[in-house]
Amino acid sequence: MSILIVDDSMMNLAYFKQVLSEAGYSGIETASSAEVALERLGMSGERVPRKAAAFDLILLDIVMPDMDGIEACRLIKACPPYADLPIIFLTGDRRHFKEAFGAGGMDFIEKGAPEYELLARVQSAIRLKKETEIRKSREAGLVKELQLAKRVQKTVLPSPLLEPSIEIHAQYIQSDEVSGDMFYWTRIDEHRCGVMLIDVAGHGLSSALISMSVRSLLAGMVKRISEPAEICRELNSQMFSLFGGSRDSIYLTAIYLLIDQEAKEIRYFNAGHPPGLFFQADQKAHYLEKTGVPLGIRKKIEGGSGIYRYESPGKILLYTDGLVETPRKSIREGIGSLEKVASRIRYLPNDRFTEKLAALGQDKNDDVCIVSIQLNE
Amino acid sequence: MFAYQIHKSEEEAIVVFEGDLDIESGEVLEEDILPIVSEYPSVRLNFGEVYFVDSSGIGLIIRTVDELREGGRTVKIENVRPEVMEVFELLQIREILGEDVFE
Repeated sequence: MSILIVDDSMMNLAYFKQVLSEAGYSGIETASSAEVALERLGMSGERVPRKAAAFDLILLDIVMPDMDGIEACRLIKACPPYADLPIIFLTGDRRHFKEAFGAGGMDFIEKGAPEYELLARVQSAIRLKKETEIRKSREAGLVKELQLAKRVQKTVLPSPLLEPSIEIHAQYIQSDEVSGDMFYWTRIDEHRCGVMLIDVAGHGLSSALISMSVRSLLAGMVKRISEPAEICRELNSQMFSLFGGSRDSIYLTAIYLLIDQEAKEIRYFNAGHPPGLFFQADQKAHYLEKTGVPLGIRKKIEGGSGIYRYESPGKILLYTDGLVETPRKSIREGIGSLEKVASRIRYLPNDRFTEKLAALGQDKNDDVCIVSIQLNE
Repeated sequence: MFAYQIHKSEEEAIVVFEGDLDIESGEVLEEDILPIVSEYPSVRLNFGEVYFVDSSGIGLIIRTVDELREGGRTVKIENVRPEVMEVFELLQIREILGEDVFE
């Protein structure tokens, strides 16, 4: 506990120091002017100290010959390392109060007030400072943890797939530090690629935990099972056995495409996810919209799966609902306007295409994820 | 903004919602509304003044309906606005809860 007392009267300094020492406070320092106090705080010559001097409280006289207490208080509170350091004014004159509080003083002690009042005010100021410090350090710790979690989450995302016959790019916009959106792709064999996009209901940490646990299942599942409808059923039963017992309603929507470039065929399942959009050459977008129930809600599901055979190359766009949903507006219209924008820029290189579309999701208050698959001849 | 009123008769409780149903208002559904309406054999959830339901809200609706049905209650969802119905349909709520939940 360390207290700095600033007063131009030696008698006052001695008095306050004695009262505080007798009450058990140690580490009491005194300064006979505002200038001396600023020097002790490492602030002389308008310097900003790199590290704050270790005081928990300043008792500051108002009327002093050179710089007065109000000006000193203003300077100290404006100095970032001392923004949370409480200052209590010592005064004999109520006329100063308005200005004193305006300068950032937290309390005042009238000279001549009884000792118990002095001690009570000092104690509550110090307690508040300690609590603020604890809260701030907890918050800083949490923010750090979340940033680390964000990096961890990003490391499991695949990097763009760049091959002569196929390119896959994605954009990932998180409304919180971490998100429940997740995408995954892999080459299965010479002709086939699997691409999945999932969106866990809700946002933030709990959704991110769920999406990470699902992510860990995908690689094995996609390699082991080739039929999308079956992956859908398997993923649902895994979700259900992991989270079905929870009191919270945990579910996710997902779309998975198995692209076979030799057979020119896309087999897919869609579990409650917005439809994928396939822009083929110069044709109108085809909606991959055979949809079934989201995963993790029901023990057994039929699953919505479809097959689409295509003639010419093009782009397939997958996205999470954050990109097309505006509260109180029609989501179908949102999908329609996405289709329009995407169609207009469909001939852009694939990476530019996803970047342009990501701009649509920037101002939404939701996680947004965009995956674009460019199929070449 | 989210508010609700419950109209009770002997056999039936009608819950009229007003506002957006998301994770926060969903807690009201679970903690305040469910205990009251589960006393009645028949429960009607009126969505006429609900303009937006997010993914967490949908989860809570499904759970509420499931829980009431497990307790042997009949549940109907009524007056769903078209923009909300689109979200319900995207998430296949008819398939999840059965056609008979919507009259």
